[in-house]
Amino acid sequence: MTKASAALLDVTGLRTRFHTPHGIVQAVDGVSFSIQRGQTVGIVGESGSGKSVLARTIIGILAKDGSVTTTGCLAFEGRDLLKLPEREMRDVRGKDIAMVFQDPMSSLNPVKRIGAQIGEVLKRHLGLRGRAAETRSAELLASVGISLPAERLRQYPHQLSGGMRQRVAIAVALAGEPKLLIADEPTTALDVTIQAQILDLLRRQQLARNMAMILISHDLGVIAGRADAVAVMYAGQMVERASTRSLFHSCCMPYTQALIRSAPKLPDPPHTRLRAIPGRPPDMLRPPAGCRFNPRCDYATDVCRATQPMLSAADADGTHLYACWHPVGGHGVLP
Amino acid sequence: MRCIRELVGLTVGAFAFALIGLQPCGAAEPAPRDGGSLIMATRGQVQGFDPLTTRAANRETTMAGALVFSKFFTLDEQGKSIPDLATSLDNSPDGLTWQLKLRPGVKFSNGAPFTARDVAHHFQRILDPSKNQAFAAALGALKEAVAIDDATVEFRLAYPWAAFPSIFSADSYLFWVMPAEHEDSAGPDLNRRPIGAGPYVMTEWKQDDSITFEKNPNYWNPNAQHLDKIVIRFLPDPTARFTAVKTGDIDIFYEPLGKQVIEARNDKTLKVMEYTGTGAYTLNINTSSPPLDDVRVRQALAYALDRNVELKVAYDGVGYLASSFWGPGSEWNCPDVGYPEYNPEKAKALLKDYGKPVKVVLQSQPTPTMTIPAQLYQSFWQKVGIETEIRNIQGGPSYISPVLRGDYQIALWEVADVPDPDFQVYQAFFSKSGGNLTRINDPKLDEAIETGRRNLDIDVRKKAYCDFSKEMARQMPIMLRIQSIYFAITQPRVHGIPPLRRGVVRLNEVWVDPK
Amino acid sequence: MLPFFLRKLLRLILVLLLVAAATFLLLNLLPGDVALSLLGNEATPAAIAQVRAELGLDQPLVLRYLHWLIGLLHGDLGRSYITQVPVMESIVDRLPVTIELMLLSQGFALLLAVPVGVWCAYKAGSRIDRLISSAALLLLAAPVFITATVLMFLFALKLRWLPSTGYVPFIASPLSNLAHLVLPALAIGLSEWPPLFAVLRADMIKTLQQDYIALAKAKGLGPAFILLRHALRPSSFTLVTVSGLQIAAAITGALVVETIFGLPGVGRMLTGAVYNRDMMLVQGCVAVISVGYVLINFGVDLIYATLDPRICR
Ligand SMILES: Nc1ncnc2c1ncn2[C@@H]1O[C@H](COP(=O)(O)OP(=O)(O)O)[C@@H](O)[C@H]1O
Ligand code: SF4
Ligand SMILES: [Mg+2]
Repeated sequence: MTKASAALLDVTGLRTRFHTPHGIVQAVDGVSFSIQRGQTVGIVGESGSGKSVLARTIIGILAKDGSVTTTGCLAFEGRDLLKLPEREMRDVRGKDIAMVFQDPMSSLNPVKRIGAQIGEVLKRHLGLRGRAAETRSAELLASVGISLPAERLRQYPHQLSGGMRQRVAIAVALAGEPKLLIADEPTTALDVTIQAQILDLLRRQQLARNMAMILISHDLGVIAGRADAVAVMYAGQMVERASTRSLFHSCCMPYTQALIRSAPKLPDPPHTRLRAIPGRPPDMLRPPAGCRFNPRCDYATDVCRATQPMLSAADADGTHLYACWHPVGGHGVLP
Repeated sequence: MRCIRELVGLTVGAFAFALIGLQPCGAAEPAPRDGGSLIMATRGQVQGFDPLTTRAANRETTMAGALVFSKFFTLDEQGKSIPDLATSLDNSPDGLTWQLKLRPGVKFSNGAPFTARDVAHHFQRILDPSKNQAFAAALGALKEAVAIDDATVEFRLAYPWAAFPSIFSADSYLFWVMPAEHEDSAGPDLNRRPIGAGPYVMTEWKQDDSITFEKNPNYWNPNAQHLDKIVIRFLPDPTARFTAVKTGDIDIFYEPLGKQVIEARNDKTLKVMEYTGTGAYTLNINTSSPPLDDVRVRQALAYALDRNVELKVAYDGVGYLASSFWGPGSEWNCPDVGYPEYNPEKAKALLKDYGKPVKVVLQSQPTPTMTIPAQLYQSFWQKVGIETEIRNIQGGPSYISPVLRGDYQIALWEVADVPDPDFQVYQAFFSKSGGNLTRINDPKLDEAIETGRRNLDIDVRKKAYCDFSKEMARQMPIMLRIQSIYFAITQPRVHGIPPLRRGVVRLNEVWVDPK
Repeated sequence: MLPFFLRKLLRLILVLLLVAAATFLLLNLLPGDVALSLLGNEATPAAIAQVRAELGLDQPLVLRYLHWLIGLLHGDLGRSYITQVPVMESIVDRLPVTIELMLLSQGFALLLAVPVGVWCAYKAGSRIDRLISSAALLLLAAPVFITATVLMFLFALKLRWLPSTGYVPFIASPLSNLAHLVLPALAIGLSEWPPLFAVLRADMIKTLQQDYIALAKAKGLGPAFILLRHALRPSSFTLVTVSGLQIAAAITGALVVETIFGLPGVGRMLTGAVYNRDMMLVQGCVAVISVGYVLINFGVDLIYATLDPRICR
């Protein structure tokens, strides 16, 4: 498996289950994909499809009290992170893998100065403290486009705007010089006018640092020009995976198709009303039998309702995978 | 002039008999040791040392004052009068003039001489009705006190007063003499800056916490000063006081509960002091408040009480039933006064004779020592058809005031242990006295009280008080419960506490083994 | 920060004046006459008039209030009706005991509540959490005097580790002072820690679900660091409020505990004063306690400002 060993992160058959009082929630249900150094993989799916749970599973910050179980394999540089003892995993987090959260209003600690929030990563992983840490923090802030970085270090999050805060959050994530950055809907909570800036910042940093990135969004438009490959998630499962180009040009899954349609086109003015996908995502406590998308799918047939489609290759080299009994390529994109 | 010794000796000789229930003191006590300190814990707190400020004194105050102010005469364990600050008291044949000779060379704790002028000044001060009418009334016959020379005070009476000499050996806050200049100049601070001629000086007083005394360097009789330091601590919670005496944090636990006495008796590491006094726990009846103005109702109330049950339930069986104010150990005791025995049938008959339904209000305090008896009475009276409403009033002045004002029907009370009956009986039961608690107005009682007050013949007086007790049992203005009984639990290292007459622990000559 | 401080200070002064007026009026409009209490026996109208004049009770209420207020501003609270001791002197004498007791008891309560609360929030829902939570509930239901008596029985009488009653000033002997205060403070502290524990645990559980805690984890920080350096401060706003209220409310515990353990504190003195209808002393104690209460709340506001930087805006 030369290909797999070359990958920075190789996810195979990952399953994450929540044991709730009402039953088991299969939030991530058999997800596999890999990401190379310096590559960006976009993960897209409606709200509730398990993107955040997938991200948190990878970085290992889900509850450890037995209410969550994870199986599968998470090979990071050849080591299975799922088998790594918590103590060693702590050295991976923040250093090898870092994360940017959706809402910068809530992901920064409101009662800690910004300097401290960056500094603790520098101290934890790089052993920097005092002056050195301060200088480095200021550099980081400057690199994410924050003016007067030295003053900002002494400020609290509430003294900054939302966009600024997300920049700080990115600085925090970059502080440990990570090899993989997971950005979980980094712009969803932000003003539309700033979204592009933040996304471009992330892209620039990713390229400059030759850092791999998992860019998560419910909006394909966000991912369109910024990811090398895209994985589509529905109800905890990965239903289509392809290079960005291939996905946009010849998607196979009706769900992907619907996502592409609902994504705002770049020429659209901001706040264009999206064409929402009809119906609601399934109840994750009782997902439908067969293809999970079948209650909402225009092409659903009896086989869809009875049996789950497996991932199959759409092209010769097997880089475009999809799970559907009736791939859209076969009957063309509906008007 | 007759010598006072006779009179005082006689009056006070009674106490030799009053010592029933005292622990055997057969084993010869070793010679007193000097030095060390002692802590006594009490329930109440010391009120102060100026009678015009405090206007009344609880036992804690009396005990504290006794350390700072010696009496003119003290009584030994046999009740014999011993000269202390005074050496003699002589009277004129008509009994109207008395001369008190002071011990020469006595000094106040501040070094000033203790003179007749100071004593006379003090008496004049408390006799001044513009300062306090009650004291003037209580001292009845005493008109004035005059200093004849440095060492002689002359007391002039309006009429012969048999009990007069006893005031000079009484444990009363009224007779705490301070230097005349101090009494005049200290103002409101007089109450908390006592200067006396007694064996101890008050060195610290933390209100509501503790009061500390140290040896008076100017005391006239250093042989009788043993302890270096005495602390009286106010610890209202009896459980805490008991714990403290068990752990040795305190040396004397004053006023234990019945069950604690029983426990301490079985504890080899503790000593129990016990004294059954004259006086009694009582139920006062307001005879001016219908239906209690009818003697049949009052008698019925008394017949309905099963006092033996009360003794067992409320006092853990520790104590004796009372039938008059003066118990079997007292000189003034009258053996058979006809106090009603438990007889519910008789009570019912009396009520039937009275004819109307009877409903009474019983004033009590919300403490276990009061509520348990109160509920017992309620049930006793219920059995004979008397309806009782219990009115609980928190202790202190608010409890006392309604009784003094006559704004009550039946109230739990206590008649104190006193050396001479006159003072108390006149005050509380003479029809024209200001302190007539029960509002009783009975010519036979008045006659007996007058005789007891004015006659100088001890036998006539005894008979008068016997008549008084019998008439009280008939008129029933006050129901008697348990004879006054006083307890203290001490560490074995404490020696030299005289009998707890009037419930007072006299610490003047106490000494302790080293810890 | 400064306008915030000034605003608070202004409000503080206003509240203090109101408290002083309310204290005086309330106590003076209460039924019951000191003169009557003092006189007892010979409560003739003439004697009552005599005592009332002596105590200045014959003057109109407004005049008495002004008199008292002027005294108060000069630090003079009058003299006890019963013992004639200046009230201020008595209070100044007692206050250190009560303050020490309240701080110590709150210290005990926090010392218990914070680690246990943090731990239980971290292990929320586990068996140990459920066990401790129900134990705390049980202690909450136990009245102070029971706790006090049990502690005294156990540590003073049975084990003889600590003195049962009494007080030694700190300057006289710091060690002995603490030995005398440990049990009383523990008695109050034990009844005070359950609410502190409960609010901290609840707030902490909420905090631990915040994104910034997830971020802290994603930074690779250890649980102890996250709990104490990230989660504790934002979880302690309610804790500080409740703690402030409790320090102030501890005066009721002090009433009981000072009496049982024989500590010469304000609570003890107040109990005695109420018992004796010594309104001058009661008034003084209540005024001082109220001032303390208001000051503590002021302190709580200030602590807030340091705990939560968002507040001083
Ligand atoms: N702690 C949890 N306990 C139970 N269910 C959870 C928990 N966290 C997430 N889920 C469920 O997992 C599913 C996926 O959630 P999430 O990953 O947050 O979706 P999204 O794709 O919008 O990020 C949802 O159905 C959600 O209800
Ligand atoms: S499998 Fe059937 S239901 Fe599912 S997406 Fe394909 S066509 Fe639709
Ligand atoms: Mg999400």
